[in-house]
Amino acid sequence: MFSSLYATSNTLAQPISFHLEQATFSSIVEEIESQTSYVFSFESGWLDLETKFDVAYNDMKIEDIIDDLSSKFRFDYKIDNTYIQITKKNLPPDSLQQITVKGHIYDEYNNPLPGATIIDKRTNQGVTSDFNGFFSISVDAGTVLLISYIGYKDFEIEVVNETELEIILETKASELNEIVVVGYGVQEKSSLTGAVSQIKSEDIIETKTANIEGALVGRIPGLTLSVRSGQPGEDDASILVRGRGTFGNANPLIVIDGVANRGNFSRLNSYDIESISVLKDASAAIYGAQSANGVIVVTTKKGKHAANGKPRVSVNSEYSLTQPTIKPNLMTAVQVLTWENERNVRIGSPPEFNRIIKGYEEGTLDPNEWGETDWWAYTTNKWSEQRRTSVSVDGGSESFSYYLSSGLLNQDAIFKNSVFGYDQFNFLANFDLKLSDNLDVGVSINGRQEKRINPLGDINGVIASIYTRLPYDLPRYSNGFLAETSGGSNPVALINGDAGDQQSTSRTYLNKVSFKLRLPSITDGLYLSGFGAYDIFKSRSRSLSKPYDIYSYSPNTGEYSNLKGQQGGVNLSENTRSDVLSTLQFQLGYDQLFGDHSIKFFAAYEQSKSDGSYLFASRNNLVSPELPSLDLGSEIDQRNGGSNFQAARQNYFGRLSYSYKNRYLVELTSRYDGSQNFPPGSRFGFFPGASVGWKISEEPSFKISWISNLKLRASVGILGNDRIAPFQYLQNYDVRSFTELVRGTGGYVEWYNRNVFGENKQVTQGLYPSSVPNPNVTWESATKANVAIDLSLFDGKFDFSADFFYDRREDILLPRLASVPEYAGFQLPDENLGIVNNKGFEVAMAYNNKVGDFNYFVNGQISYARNQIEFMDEAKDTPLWQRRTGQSIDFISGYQADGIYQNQAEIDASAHLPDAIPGDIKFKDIKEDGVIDAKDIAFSFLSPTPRYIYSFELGGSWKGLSLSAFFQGQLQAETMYRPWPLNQDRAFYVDRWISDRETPNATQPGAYGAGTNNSLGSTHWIRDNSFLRLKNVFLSYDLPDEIIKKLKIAQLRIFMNGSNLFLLQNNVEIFDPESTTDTGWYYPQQRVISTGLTLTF
Amino acid sequence: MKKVIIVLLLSFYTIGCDDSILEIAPQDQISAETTWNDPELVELYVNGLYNLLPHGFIKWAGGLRLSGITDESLMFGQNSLLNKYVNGGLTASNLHLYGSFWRDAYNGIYNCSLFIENVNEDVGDPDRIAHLTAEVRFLRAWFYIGLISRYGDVPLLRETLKLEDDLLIERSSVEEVMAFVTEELDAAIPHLKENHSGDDFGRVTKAAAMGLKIRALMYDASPLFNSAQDMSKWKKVADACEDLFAIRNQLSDDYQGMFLNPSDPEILFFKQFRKDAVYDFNTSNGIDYFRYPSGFGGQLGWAGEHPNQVLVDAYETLEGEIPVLGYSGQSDDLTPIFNPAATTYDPDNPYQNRDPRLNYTILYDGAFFSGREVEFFEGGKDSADPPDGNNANNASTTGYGVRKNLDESWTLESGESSDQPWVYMRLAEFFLTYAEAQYYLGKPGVAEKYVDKVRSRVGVEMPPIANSLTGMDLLSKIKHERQIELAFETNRWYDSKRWKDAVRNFSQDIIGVEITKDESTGERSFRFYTQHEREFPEHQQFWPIPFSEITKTNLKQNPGY
Repeated sequence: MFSSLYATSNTLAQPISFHLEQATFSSIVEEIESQTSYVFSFESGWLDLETKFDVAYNDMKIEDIIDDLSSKFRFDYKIDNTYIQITKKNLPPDSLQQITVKGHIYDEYNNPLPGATIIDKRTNQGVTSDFNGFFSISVDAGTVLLISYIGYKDFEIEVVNETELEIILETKASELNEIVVVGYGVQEKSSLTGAVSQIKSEDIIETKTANIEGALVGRIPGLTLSVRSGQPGEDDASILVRGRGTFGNANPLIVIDGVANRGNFSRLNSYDIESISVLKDASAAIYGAQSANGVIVVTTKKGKHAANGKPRVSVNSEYSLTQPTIKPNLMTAVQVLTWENERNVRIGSPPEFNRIIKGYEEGTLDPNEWGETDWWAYTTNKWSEQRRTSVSVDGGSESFSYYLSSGLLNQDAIFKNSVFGYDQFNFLANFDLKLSDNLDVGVSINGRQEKRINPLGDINGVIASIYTRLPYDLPRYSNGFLAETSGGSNPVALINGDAGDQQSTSRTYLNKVSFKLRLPSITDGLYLSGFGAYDIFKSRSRSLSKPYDIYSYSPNTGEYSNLKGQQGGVNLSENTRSDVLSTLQFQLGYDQLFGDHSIKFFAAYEQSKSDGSYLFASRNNLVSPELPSLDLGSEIDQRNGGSNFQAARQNYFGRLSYSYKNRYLVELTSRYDGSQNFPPGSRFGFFPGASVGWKISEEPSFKISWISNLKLRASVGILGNDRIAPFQYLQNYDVRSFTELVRGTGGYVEWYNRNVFGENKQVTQGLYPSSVPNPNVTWESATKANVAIDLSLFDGKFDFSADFFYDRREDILLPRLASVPEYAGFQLPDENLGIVNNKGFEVAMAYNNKVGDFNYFVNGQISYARNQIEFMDEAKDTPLWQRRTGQSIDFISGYQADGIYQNQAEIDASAHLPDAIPGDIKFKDIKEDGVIDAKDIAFSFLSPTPRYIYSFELGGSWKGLSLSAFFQGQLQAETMYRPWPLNQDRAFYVDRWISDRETPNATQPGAYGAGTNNSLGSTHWIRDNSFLRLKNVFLSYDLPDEIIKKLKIAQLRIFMNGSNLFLLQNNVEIFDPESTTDTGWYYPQQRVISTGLTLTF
Repeated sequence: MKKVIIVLLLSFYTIGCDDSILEIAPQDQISAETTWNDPELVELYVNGLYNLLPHGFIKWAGGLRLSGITDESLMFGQNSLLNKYVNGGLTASNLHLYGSFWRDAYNGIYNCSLFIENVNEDVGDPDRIAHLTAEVRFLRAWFYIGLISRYGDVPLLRETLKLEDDLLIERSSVEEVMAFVTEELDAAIPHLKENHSGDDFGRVTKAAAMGLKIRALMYDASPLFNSAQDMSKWKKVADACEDLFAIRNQLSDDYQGMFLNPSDPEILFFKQFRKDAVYDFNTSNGIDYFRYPSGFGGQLGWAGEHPNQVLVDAYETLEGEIPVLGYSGQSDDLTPIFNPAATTYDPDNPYQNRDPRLNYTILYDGAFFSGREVEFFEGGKDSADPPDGNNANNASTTGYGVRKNLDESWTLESGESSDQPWVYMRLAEFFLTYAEAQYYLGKPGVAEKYVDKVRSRVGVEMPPIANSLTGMDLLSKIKHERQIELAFETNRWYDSKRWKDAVRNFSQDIIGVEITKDESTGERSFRFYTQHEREFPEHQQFWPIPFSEITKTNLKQNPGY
């Protein structure tokens, strides 16, 4: 039979799409002919018209479709213009010879893949691989084998001879099939039952902040990261998982490569991170007594077994410029002087500066005495630099793979003419060895050195000294000499290092040896695994203060005198800290498939122990600032001290996962956790977790073709938090430790533990009782429940998931400060007192699609968490408006502001503070007793921790070019911003009250000083921290394949990136909305503009 | 392979059985058992208690700033920390600098009681333990007297409270607390030594405990607490004084020097310091740095405390008359009201012919100090307008500085601090207390005799107060003598309150002087002005109990707050 169908107006050569289920060859031909002007010609008889296939072609060229069909239906073809002639395939002579193909399937990390399907495409018959990834199949020679495994890219190979194949499957990038790292293991995203979110390496490296945490901001639903400082090396974010659920320590547990408590992940090399997972619900319960605040699991990259056997070298290099997101706009000299005048007048003193103000206006002042200095601009750079380079090599063979990398990061501080900043060097070596068929061994060394050079003293103090320096003071006299300011010191000497500096170097070595021993001799699927980790943390820092040239100028004589001699000698203090954490773990596990039943089980033992010590020493009057060595200092005033500490944990835990037909999923975990923080006899606690999932879309009866995945999941568990000071169950005595002195910065420290007795003035120690023992102290326990829905539509083009959670934290540890009177006189231990519930939701969605070569995506997420105190210790007579029970944990307390007093009559007519004057903020008499006092302080349950966080991202790529824009924001967060009452932001000056006649509508109070009524906390100073910022823009270009091939490299990408680019909404106005200080005296958050390249060969 | 398995299983077994891993003892703390069984540790515990005692050179309830809230002086930079205490603005929640006294004193009391409850006489030398216990009783009494004088009635805890106890207790009356304190001191005195030497020098002596007992009895007898005017209370004061005088009766011959010399027989109790411990306020002090005028100390003197012209005026002329009785006129140009009886007073040379204690106590323009004359005049080295412009911000705002306690040999060399002792108690105070008691007991002759003992000290030698003064005249002479003799030793604040004179005394404005020096003749002219307006409402004679404490407890707030 000849089929000859004619079509008329359809387009030629355009890609077409169609999906057909159980289609015969004829129906496919019909479909193509209906969409195009192509015409088929074939002779029936030899052609297989019975076999039915599911076909799905998306935007494919007709040639490719025909080519695919030719292998399915085994024919040859010829295309001539719009005419497609199909002929019988000329098979090679031995084509029908039966051959046996054996193979071994594993992933890029040399893990065997059991249960992979191997299908003969010609017959559609297949087998699955065994527990160790081996398979054997008999096929016709010349057929094509299709190897597929969930989560991995399909692999096809034509087999001609009997052969043994080594097949490496690459992981598939698709959302749904993503492998997610969970507690003590990995899971496919599609079979997750807990609330676990993961971010992968490519998203982490897209944001070019020096600190990895910066790259997570807004990327993970339910994770609140607030970057409170931009100081190089000190810009760690505060991290909360699903808001705050406790009064106590709310930090999540950090696990790096399977080992807990190795410190923060913020200083790892971002290029070395494979993934970061956040366990938000009962899925964290397997971490027991440390899990209640959520767990963050960080995994570093491992060597990929390259198909061509060659090492892959990857070079990433970037150069960035950074600057504060918001710059201070402080008062001018005349404004400060006017402010001081007005302040005097308000308290009944004469104005002091009329003459000077007039002098400023007329320009008659000695410019060496009265200046106009923008101290911020004078001391900080417009842009600072940041450089980062990372080189990695990875590769390997079947029995050995490796990932080696090293990275350098260098960040300069914002200070002008300074050497201050941060340097980081990372290296990572991950080796995986296959010692025998059943024994794998891994060795990992992850090291880094962090070097910080900072100005003397606390950095916020340095920033404060810039903020508080008055604009009429001069940084330098006209002859260039450093000038003494009215506060005495001059921040220039601090920021350029003339006054000395602080240097610290810390070295971290995370070392781990692991093994996995499969025990097929006992039963398939049984294994024993374990690891030993030995982590070393060392740090050493020194603080050197030295006299410097600073001059005072006498306007009378015109002479300068150097005050260097009054600053004391060259003083040095050093300290070292050394910690060791050793962790051992053994797991006995069993993974097996029994037909439709999948069982995974393990039981484990883990113990960890840490030891640490601290030492410090100082000497004064060193012979030279160039030789900062303790030996060269005077012995007269030398000091030293030190301390030791130890901690230990012991845990037993396990997990059982079961799934039926990958449709019904159940997971049970339990953990029996022991911690030395608690008294003998009650050191161990039990923490169970359970979760279930139902993949509705896997049901046979589920017929909605455009829903590719629909899953419901739920979890519940009991989790613990034991982060308290140890030994609270004992009555002890200690020699209260003293902190060292940082001289020359005003940062002195009182020593409590010494007294002078005797005619020879002997210094003796004092011994003090520790807090009152609490023999019943135990961990906080959190009951967590989570229900969620995951939905994926249109072949994964649209993904949606929503989680709803409820946590109830009981036995929250806090001292009974509120109800135990101070006259009891003792220091209070923590007690298991508080109860807080925390509830909220996370919704995330993503859409991606393509039009021709243009791929684009949109995604967005919003999280909400709100806590409520069910019980806490409250003082007996707490007024209603100060009660916290029933409210959220965070609060801001202050008087209720009610405008500004315009005149004395208004004060007299209302309840007021005893010393209120016109121009003061008026406070409401909440207690209505006619006086304003502490009883009228009201609590607002506002918080710098936002209730809502949200983000969205838009992006697209076309050929090698890709661009994305990431927006991030928060809602319902507040902070009290009380400016320093002198030299504050100009806004406070411009809007200030002067008198009832001049400024009846003033929004800010009259000029005031520290410790006055206006500087009291009140609602007047509260600002809304809601914001929306363009968090990140990433533009990259990949050189096209043709050029890449010519250059014999694998990839060359150039990129530009901007982080914290600008704020679309900022109600705080004067500061970055993530600031939490009253005054702005902190190292500001940074905007980062980067360019760089990635080269792989 | 088998070997590997065996090794792994063995290691699993050995490690898995290590249950002792959690048996960890604190590395930086000592257990209660060890502490109380080691005489050396027991001694260290007592040493620690001494540190809780505030001293006058810096800490919370210290004298330095306590004089700044009296009519003695103005504290430099006081605004944010002290202004509520001097402008009538004090509430239960703005106590700032002194706000922690309540907590710190009760913490001291707890630590003392814990010692008394735990110390074991069998550990070490029983005499030593008895002595240490007596010291602890003394210290606990000290904290209670501090509380009473600030808050009036306070909760009295004879033993430590336990967490599980009913923590809500009432305020005990001053009388009850004072009875406890005197009992405690009576129990302590027999175990204390009259003098310490060697390593014990500086610890509590018998005389110190007797002095403290006199103070307790004196508060109890004074008008503020003795509204029933029970004169038998003054009898107890007098008796206690006589007990003290039986072992200490010698005033110092060196009014100025005794503040640098803790061995002086007049000194009853003191705290020592060392020069080498910079900024460590338990072992060194910065008093010279804080009080040196701005042109001294390598032009780094802080001139931190500015005496009041009113106090300067209170120093008698050599003939025994107070020269200036008050001021009239505009606040920026006040006119002194001279006492016509003070015939030797020369308004152009106001510091001449005055009670020598003026020179020993206060730095005034032209006083010779640490190698040169002090220059407070306009354009002088220690003025706000110094010739070289240096350290102008730190200059005195009243034209005076505090001299008492200063070590004139001190210079600012490589940040060295000061080591003169803080004197808590000295005999002259108790001579004057005795005089006050005798006044109330109707023995003016004895009273006058003891006032004159203080006035006639070698190096002071002021004329005796007139014979046969009676009634209020005698009482005000005694009060005046206390004001002069004990200036800047914190007594003024306690005394004004117990006399119920605080409203009158502390409502007086701080008056300063501007001195203009004629370059050619060297003559000075003086302009007086109100430097700081003061207001002291009556209720402020007791501080409020901190607001947080009130909400936790059944304690009644002091009236007026």
